[in-house]
Amino acid sequence: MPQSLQAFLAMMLATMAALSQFRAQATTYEGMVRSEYEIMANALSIEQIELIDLNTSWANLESVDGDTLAVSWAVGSENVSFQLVFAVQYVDEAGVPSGTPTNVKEVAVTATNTKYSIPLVTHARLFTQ
Amino acid sequence: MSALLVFTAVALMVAVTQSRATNDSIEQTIAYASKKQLLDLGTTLEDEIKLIGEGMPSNQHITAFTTNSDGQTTSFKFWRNDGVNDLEIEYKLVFVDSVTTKTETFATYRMDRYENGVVVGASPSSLRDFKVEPLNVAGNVTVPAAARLVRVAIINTYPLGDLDNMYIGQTHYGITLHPSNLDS
Repeated sequence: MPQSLQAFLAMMLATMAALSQFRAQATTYEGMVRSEYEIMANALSIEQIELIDLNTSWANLESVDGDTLAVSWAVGSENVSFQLVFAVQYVDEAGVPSGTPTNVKEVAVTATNTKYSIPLVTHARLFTQ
Repeated sequence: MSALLVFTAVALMVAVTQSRATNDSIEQTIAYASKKQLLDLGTTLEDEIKLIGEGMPSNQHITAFTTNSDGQTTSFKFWRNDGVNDLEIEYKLVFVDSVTTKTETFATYRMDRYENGVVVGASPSSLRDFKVEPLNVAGNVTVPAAARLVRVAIINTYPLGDLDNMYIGQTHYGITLHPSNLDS
């Protein structure tokens, strides 16, 4: 009886070790996939920031506050969709949010994908009057 | 007898786990190397594209942009001055091989970098997608003369699995740049 219990315990330990190992590998692969999504999201976010920089005057930056935009990483056979959300706020020269108007505005673009429950990236840029 | 069975079962479990862990470690190393190669390429392109038209007249900024039927950028030419010489830089896409997996067949490419018509650098030969595109103020692909932004999008591939059951992993790079000289 004790020997049977010991054998059972040995098999349990081996099983738990294997399960732990496979779970760690799955987590690592998930991280690799997420990092690729983050790179795609970052590329799309930066493009929108550059377009805002080119097309919107400093005085009119608030016009994009709260906007949302559906964009896609469409390269080759891939077509991955992201949702971008824009936020504009006054900040001081150090980038700390300010409750009163300053001569510096921060435009932040946050990218999300339906595969993930939390945002992938947030890309922010400061614009000076 | 039962002890032998238990030993065999445990030993088999440990061996399979260890083998799987070793394979995964190798695949992660290959994936990391591919990603690092691509990010290094991207950084090099970023640093150079920001200098498009540097020290050059306005009619010598981006001078050529061609694509193939798959939308890949086959040639992207621009001028810049490196402080001493005027350089015509060309990123030229070269077909390398056709890769067949269980689910698809696709082409891989290499990007050769030319300076004044001479090859002085190249990317890995495992690129699946390569785009360096001039964009107008609306963010649409345009002709070189109307470009204000440059979009870079690259996908690099690496093999995973064994020869009899191989599949392909992909790593991505993308950025949109605003070379200041395109504003003039």
